[in-house]
Amino acid sequence: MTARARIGIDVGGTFTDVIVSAGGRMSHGKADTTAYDLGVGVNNALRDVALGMGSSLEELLGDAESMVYSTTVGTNALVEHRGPVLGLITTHGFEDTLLIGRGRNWADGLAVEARYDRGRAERPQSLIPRHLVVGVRERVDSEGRVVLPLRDEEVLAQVQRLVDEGVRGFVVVLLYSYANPAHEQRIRDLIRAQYPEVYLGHMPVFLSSELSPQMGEYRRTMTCILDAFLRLETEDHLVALQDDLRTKGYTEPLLIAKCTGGASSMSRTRPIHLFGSGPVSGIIGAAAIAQQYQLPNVFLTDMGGTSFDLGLVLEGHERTYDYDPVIDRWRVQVPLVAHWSIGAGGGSIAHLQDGILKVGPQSAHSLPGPACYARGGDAPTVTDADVVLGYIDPDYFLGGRVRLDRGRAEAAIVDHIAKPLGITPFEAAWSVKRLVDGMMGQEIYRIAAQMSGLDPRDFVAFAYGGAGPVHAAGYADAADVSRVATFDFGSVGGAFGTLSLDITQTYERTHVDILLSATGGGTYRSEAIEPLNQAIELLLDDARRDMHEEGFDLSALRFELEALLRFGQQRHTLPIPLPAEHVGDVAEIETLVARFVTAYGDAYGKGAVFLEAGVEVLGLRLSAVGDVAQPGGNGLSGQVDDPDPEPVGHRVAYWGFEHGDRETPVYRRERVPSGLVLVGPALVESPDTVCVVPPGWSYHLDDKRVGWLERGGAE
Amino acid sequence: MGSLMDRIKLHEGLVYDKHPYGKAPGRDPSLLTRGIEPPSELEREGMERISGLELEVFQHKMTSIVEEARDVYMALSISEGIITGDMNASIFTAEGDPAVVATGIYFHTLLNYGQVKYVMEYYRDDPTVGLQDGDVYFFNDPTCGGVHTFDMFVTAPIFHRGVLVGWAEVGGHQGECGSISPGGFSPRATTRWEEGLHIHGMRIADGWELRRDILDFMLNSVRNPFVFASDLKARVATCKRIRDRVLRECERRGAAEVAGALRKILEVSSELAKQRISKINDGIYRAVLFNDGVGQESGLVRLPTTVVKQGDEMVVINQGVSPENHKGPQHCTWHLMRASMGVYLFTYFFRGLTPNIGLLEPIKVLVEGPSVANCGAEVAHGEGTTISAMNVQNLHVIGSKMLFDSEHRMSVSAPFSRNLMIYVYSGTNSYGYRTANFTGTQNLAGQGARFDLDGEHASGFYWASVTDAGEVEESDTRLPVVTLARTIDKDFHGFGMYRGGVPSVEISAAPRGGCELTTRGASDRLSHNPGIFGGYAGPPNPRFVIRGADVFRQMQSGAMDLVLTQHNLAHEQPLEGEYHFDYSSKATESFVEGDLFIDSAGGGGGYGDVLERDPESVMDDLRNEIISAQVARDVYRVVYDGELLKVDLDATDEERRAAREERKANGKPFDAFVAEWSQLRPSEDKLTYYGSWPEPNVETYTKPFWGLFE
Repeated sequence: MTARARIGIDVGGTFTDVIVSAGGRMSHGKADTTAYDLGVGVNNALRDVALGMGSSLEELLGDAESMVYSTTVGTNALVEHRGPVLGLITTHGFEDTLLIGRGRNWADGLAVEARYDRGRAERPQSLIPRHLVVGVRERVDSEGRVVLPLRDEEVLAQVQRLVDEGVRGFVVVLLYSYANPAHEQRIRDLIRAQYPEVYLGHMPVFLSSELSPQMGEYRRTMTCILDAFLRLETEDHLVALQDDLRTKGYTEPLLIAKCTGGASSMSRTRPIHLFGSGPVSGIIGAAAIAQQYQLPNVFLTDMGGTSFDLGLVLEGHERTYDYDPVIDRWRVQVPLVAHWSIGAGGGSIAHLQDGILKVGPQSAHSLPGPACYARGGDAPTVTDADVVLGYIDPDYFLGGRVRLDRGRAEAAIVDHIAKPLGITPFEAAWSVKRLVDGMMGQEIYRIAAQMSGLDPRDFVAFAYGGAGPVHAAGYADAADVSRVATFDFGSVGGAFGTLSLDITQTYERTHVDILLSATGGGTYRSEAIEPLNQAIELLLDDARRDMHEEGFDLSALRFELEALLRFGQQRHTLPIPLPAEHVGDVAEIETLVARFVTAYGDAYGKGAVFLEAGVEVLGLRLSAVGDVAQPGGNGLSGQVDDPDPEPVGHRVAYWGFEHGDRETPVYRRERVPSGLVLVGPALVESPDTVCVVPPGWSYHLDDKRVGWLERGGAE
Repeated sequence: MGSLMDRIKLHEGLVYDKHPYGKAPGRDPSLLTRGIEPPSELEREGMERISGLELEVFQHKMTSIVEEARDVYMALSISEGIITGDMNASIFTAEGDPAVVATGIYFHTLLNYGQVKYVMEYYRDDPTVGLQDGDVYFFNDPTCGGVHTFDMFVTAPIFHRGVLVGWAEVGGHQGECGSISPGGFSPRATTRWEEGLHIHGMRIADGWELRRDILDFMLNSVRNPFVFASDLKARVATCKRIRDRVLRECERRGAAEVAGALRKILEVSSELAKQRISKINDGIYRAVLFNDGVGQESGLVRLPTTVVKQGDEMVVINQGVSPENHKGPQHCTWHLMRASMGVYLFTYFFRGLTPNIGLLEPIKVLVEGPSVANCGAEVAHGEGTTISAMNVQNLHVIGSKMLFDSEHRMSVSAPFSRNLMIYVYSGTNSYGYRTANFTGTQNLAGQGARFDLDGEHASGFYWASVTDAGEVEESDTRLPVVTLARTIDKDFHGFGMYRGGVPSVEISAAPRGGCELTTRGASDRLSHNPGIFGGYAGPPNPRFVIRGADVFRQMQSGAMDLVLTQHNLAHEQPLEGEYHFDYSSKATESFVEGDLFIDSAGGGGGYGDVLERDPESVMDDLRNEIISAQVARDVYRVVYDGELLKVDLDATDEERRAAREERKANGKPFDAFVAEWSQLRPSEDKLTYYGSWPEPNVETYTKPFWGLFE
């Protein structure tokens, strides 16, 4: 190998993807995810890509300069409730906070339809059973004053009770501990005194004031529990994988991709930050491409077998944080880069409900899979519709690695949809596609609206996933998006994205104060400056500590600081960037408020601005970014080995009620010359997908081999 | 409807299918009862043009729009009710019927058409008013199609190139409205004139700009102009967002297709509702509930519900209802009775169908009036929802009986808790703002037991599908109270083979400087949470406060291991102070620092016989402190080891066999029961507001049950 390789790994639910960027070229490989030991799948995928590069696993690893790893180890552990027995110590009176969960926790993490189905509400099983939750009598008020002092003897008695019940670790969440952590710290001291670290059986103590110093007792509790619950499983896996890779020749640190939109070494990574790191890495990778193309607003769409995932790049920002994140079924406080998922994929089942066609949310998954897989499934799926419509060549699915049965696809569509509705198989399959495209399009539309207030027409869509390019024109049209980019590496987008991750640490904390007074005749409060700077300094201390440990020169760090602002008494906040690391004078407060007012007006309309209510700060968020050098950019390549402007063949495909079925040219992506404009209808195949170009759309590959679907191409 | 309905006799001289009040300035009750408007020419054209497939896609898009609007509205608002989900956002047809809705509150989605239709009928062509793009109308008058004066809405027409294609509508529980008690609810109000601002439908903006003079008028009419103005701006901004989104769809599809599709959504829903109804067994089904107060004082009030179901039609009849009492705000309008049914129907009976007013089309609603359930215009209306909720609870019981032998058994359950108390706190919050509002506790009611599952604890608000109770660390800073506990309390739900869900009980203290409290409720002695098929009812929920507790001082003394649960406070009374278990509706009172308030939204009823509950589930409840040992032993009749909580199965079987024998011994033939029951009668002081006994409106009627039958 001539150039040192950068390796990105993304473990997904079905496949483990690997991408290698070396010498200005990219290679990718895949293997089945091995849930029993994720390391096996990682090794297999690395071997697969090494093979494709004419190399061995050991050679690849020995030559690698970096490796970023995105893993689902935490997700698996959570689904299977695999974790230590934990006890929760909380303020007496709030022992049921976990169960109550703002009342709505039965619906958290569910699909929209299920969220409305209150009659069948069922809460998920708690990670800490009720009998392992104990209360201690103490109280701190919202301003951090001790109202009721903690009593050591009660703490010790409750700790003993939990130990007797067999707990192996303690989570401590007291009311308002973000404002004054003294009582939580005292409890830790008492436990450590009772169970010193020098002895076997030492039990870890997790304080909410350290893990998430933020307002909101339920979310803070869940954040701490998830972190504590997943620590052991995550650590064991990462250490084992790192050791394994080292024995095979990899000598550099293994970097961990995080849902906060960056990477860090294992010792600076929290378990809860591993959730959703794959989709988030995809977003960061998309942001890097967007920057290259100077696209301010991008939807990243990823349509696979079971789900349609969405992320966005908004006004050039690679990290748009989820306002109220949910991990699995739990509402948490994590600076999670926003991404969404709905149950719409190639395996989504079409069915009639009260005589009306519906698609999903049930899925045939990979087993039995769509009817055309001939693995025993006979329900019509989106993939079956794509086969019937002529978009997917049954003999060239996944580059011919999997043979599909067109007859079974058609039988499923005819029996379940066409016959009952009295329409042709083409019309039935088209209806399935139209409907699922519409659903995905609505989701794009909803996200655009919810997150930005922007018009979807201001966005470009990136289509990832095996089914993404097949449906991209359809869902883009439904969402009012007129440009879609498709990529060679679209089926391994998460792994690709890890190559763009910088070393990043993100911190949040609650800081409540009034910046613009409502009652004082609208004055900007100079008294707010010092406490604000003190709160910022606390975040900076954490950041400097961690980034120093990562080996960065502190003077070279990039800090991104945001204040979460709202009008007086609102619950909702908007993040407003603070340009400097401290606020100098009241004029800067005024500038900050002005920025908030502008952002608020842009998001909700200028008529909604209500300065008379005053403006308050509720919290702060700080990201410390250590840029990682990326020679060769993101690896987009412009090389075509054997260009050919002619189609490789033709086949009949159906294009809707207006256009009917047409003899449609079929191209191979790898041979289509850059710059050649293909006018729809056309099909552009590659080994892992087919890009469907409908009438009214055009397609071309640019000099970086990005494939552009554009609405408005003349037929 | 054929023969079954012939068996029902309606009282002569009373109204049933309309309001007992007539037209007035700004009000035309006939607009509220005439059903979905026939399609206009434009709508007809669009309905013919759009295919079933495109309608499905369109409906998804419109749903995205109103859900976005709901999120925006909740994000921008500062009223506790709106923030926690007591609101809605809708798109109406051009003719004024609600077609696409996001909740929030289901009954909001079935109202407000009266005000829109009023604008269409009376103002649109009036040269002094007119109707054009950018107009915004405000309304909150309950007699014109609203709920109560503290639920406030705005609506705006959606014009595409001069053609009216629909309406955007947004609103919800704002709270303070200038009534005699701060915060909206006025338990002591006896006429509408004590319930604050009444606006029937007034244009408040031109070109999306709020008119300063009108805004000043409204702000000058309420105690918290700051909150009022903030939320009004939020509503207008949200309405505009809906309008902009729908206009974009008009650009893509054309005005006729959008207008027609909105109208066709209602037609399809109506057809689907008929199909659902037709699959259920025909019959006459009945249930009854009693209220134990009228607002100013205690007293029995009756609300029976009869459902006659035949073919693809249903008639819901409220007959034998207590008369108007003029002693409080628990009076409901015909349109609110009808709209409230959506809370049960949409979640359970029509589960899986898209909720909108089309689903109500096959259902005829007959409410005897004038009565507490179909009242005149002059009485106070603020707690009309108490009456309409009794009808919903009856309907839930009836619906579960109807659905049991159907393919929709998944919806069979005891009703969600309606024994809610609302504590409205007023005073100065930690930011120094004057405020009057409630906490999220009403969003933590217990669910009724299901046919195959226990009810979920503390899982929502009675009227809403999904609500958010927030977190104490946040609500404490917004309200003038200090919350000391949020617990899942012991023995506070209906027992049964499957038990009801437990509510969260919030225990709060008056802060330094004290606060004021107004309370309203309706189930201090008589529960509104019936069990079903033998399950126990959820328990009543009186107002519970402790005066003179000085709880901070007592807790700081450190000598006392105070257990902060309602069960402990009520049974053990461990604090010094005066314990008050009161009638729930109380006018505003002042409290001093350290006084305690114990508040909850009530527990759900049980399903099935307690003797059939799995003994291991009883032990789980005991272990999780949801029931006491007494309940395990005396209600569930489980024999177990008290230390290890291990069931003795053989002994339990024997104990339960003995319990069944006791029941048989207490049984009697039906005729004997009726003969005995017919002799019973509450004392006169309980019947002050009831009407004639037993049939409130017919002095000579002596049958033991309710309603007139052949």
